[in-house]
Amino acid sequence: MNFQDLLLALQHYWRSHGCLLEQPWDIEVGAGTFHPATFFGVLGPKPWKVAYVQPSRRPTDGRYGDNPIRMQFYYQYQVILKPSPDDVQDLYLRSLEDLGIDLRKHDVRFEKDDWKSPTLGASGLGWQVVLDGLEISQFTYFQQMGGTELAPISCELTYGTERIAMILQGVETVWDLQWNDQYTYGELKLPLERQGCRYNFEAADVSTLLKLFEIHEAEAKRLLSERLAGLAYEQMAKCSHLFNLLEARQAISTTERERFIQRVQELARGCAQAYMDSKGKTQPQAQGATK
Amino acid sequence: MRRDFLLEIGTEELPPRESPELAAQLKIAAEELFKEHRLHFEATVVYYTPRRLVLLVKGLEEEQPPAVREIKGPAKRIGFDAQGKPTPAALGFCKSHGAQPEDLFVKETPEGEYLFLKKMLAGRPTAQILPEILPRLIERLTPSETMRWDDSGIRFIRPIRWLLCLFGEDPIEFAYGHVRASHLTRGHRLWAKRPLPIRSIPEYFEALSQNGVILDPLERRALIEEALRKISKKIKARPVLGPKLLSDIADNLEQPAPVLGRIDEEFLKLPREILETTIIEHQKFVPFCVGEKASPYFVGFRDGGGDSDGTVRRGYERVVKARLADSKFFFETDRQKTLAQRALELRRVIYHEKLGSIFDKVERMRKLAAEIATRLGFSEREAIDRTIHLCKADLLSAMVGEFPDLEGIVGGIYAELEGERELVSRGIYEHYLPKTADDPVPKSVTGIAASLADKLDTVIGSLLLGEEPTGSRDPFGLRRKANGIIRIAIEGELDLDFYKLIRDCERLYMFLPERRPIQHVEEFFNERLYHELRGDYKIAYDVADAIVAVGEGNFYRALRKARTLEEIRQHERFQSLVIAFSRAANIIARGGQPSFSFDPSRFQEEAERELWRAYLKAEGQIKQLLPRGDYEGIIERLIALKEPIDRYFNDVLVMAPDSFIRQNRLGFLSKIVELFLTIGDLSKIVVEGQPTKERTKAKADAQHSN
Repeated sequence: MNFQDLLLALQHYWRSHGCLLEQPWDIEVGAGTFHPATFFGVLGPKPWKVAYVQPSRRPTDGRYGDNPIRMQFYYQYQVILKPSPDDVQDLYLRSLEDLGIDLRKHDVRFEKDDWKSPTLGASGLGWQVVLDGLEISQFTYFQQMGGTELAPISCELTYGTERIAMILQGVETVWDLQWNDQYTYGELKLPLERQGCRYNFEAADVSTLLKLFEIHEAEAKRLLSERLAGLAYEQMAKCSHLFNLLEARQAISTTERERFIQRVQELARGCAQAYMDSKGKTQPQAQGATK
Repeated sequence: MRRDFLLEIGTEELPPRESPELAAQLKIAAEELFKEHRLHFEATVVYYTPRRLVLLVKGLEEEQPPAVREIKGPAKRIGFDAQGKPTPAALGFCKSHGAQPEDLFVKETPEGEYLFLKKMLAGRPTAQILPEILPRLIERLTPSETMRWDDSGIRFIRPIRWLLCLFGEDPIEFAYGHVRASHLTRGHRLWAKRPLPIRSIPEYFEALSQNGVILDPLERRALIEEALRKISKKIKARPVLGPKLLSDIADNLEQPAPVLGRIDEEFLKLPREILETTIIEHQKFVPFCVGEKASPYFVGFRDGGGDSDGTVRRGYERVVKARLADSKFFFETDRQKTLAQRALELRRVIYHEKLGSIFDKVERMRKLAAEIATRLGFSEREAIDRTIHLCKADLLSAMVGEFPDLEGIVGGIYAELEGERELVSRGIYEHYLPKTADDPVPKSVTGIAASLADKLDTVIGSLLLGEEPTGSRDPFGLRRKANGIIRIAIEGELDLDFYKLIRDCERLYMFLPERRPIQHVEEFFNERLYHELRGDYKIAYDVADAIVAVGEGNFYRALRKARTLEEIRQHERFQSLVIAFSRAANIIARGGQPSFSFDPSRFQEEAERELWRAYLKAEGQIKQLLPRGDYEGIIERLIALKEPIDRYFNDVLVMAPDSFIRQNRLGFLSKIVELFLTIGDLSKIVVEGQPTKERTKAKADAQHSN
């Protein structure tokens, strides 16, 4: 199965299970979780099912294209199911079978992996799904987003699309994947991957990054005071990505790191709060928040 | 009549370190709850897999026996008037329980005399009670963290998806959150797509084993070990098992099936520890070695099924290759800088906002280690200093960034590759030891000195800042580190007074603007010493108490004293010595510290002079025995004092009316007591005929043992 067909198959599968098919967000993010369709979608009581591809950037994960499975830019496929269905594990496993993975021939495992995004003020419990030893998905029951306890609980399924494609195509490195019959993933993406690594680790100018961080942070605050939460959120995402770049450049010491995270988190909280306020429904304390 | 009872809590995949703990809790909670409800049973057994916690109760009575309960009413003085007639309060109490005033009886309670009624509690059928108590049973499980997954308000570590509950052949119906108990279970994901109906408990076990689930964790573990033995023989290599690897594998699947894979030649050049840690930590696969060298094989365990066409093997090999490529990338990046270069960069890594950078910590450690080396007569001063200078540098390596557990080990490997002396690389390698209570202690002098200096600096620095552990909170691991220091001292037979060392090194912490008194550190070590003596070395609480009470800072000697006391305590002569000593100690405690030192020429009675002569003799001998640590000999000399002491107490009135004579006698007695304290505070030792008084602290300590 070509890479593009895999993305299509996931779209079909989740559409048939009632998901709205969103499109990728146009701002640099580390994961599909940042997409407003997830961040704002999981807040509040309204049921919400959505799926989309999200190009993702993780500056520290780059390996100059030398590692078979690790890169700084890749495509996540993200599904949000709110409220989380009782048979969500089966739904997920059937999506793998739908892609043509015979689960009897493979080793599928749900390995404990609790998830936290300090910058988003978000956390959840769940697993990484491991297929033949390779992590192919994150599976999380969100408990908190933007510092707010969630009710109902959403389930987030995040597919590592390249890795699943590697297993289906039986190739040794991600660069050898067939994107379609004509092009490989490497032909399309490798040159920019190498440039990206050089930028992230070597060429990015630290003082510019720091300046940009300040600019976007200030803009986010200004927009929050203008009650433009959705746009303030975009500025927050910019800050988060700049923070990741600063980390890749090893420009942040351990103590400073905490402060940076707090600054981004404050913005995310502000956005979540403003969004809830605009909906006129501040969440009642989630049921059973304390046992 | 009795029947077996079965409860299966079906979950989504539980974290492997959590399920054994939860199963153990399930057993205890069930036994408690059943006893509370007078449900008698023969035995309980628990099993677990990642997807289920199972409780089997053998021989559960079908009927709860009747019981008589005493119900407490009003106090007697309120319930009965002066004539002994029941008041309205007592009558009301009777009425509310459907009893007659004649049924009232009086019973003494800690709060005084109260009126009671006897109430007959009829027995009910167990099948009726179970639905009421089973939700509470599940509620009593306390996982390390909890989550919500629906709107029922229920929290657990992972979603609960089904409950199977059978009493004999009857399903017991109850609900927990939105889940209703039934007679349905599920097999292994690969075997059974649909729920399996179960009609009896034997059928449950049968159905699971036919559907790919090995319920018993020990059986799964045995299968894994057996598979490793076979493969080991085949490939002529020895499996390398980390401390938790076997249970991590066995607790993470329902049916282990081994898959043998190969490692690319190019990665076998990586240092063995790095290769092995990469495979174990990231993949929970088992690496192998041949002698001291890494083997090109590993084994992973898949959950269920075979691997006839090699799909899983190819997958495992691909991911191992990717992981090792990453480790190689880190290794090669790291090797571009030397440890000595990185050691200087530690200036910019904050250790603690008040205690400064890690570089600052290392500088203090060098001074501490120099003191230790001098006092212990270690000759390798230069190697020790070099070890400490370099020992923290690997914290800035990419490898330790990826595998924090390899701290020290990576430094040791890099030091060797950089051509440092063997003593230095070994010292770096060992300097975090012991990290846990099961770890060995460092063996090299460099490792010993660096480890002691590192741990002492953390403990002293944190305690001077008042950051002592409270309850289960110990963010700097101070208890663990202090325990480590004590173990290194004892197992390395280090004849070193740590309290003197700590006092002498207080100057290293003068830069802290606000400090707790240094005695604080000694008190903390006293507690830890007590804990170690009791725990690791199995010393009786009263003996440990006797040693700790005198503030023994030489931990190695502390254990030897304790051992000697334990040996000798059974002897009658020793027991009467303890009594004599306690008498002297008590009189001093009552009489207060004398205001001046005594004068032997002012002794009045022959018994005083006799004891004085005996004392001088004993003291002279003890002074000679002490450096050698001949505690048995010392105790013998003290025992020789027993008779003169007894005679002294017979013939001499210590608390004489003349204040001068009294002070003189108290002064003398305190000298005697001081001599005894060489071996410990013997008044703490429990001997027959003396009241046992366990310190409350001893109990508190036992509870917080870690």
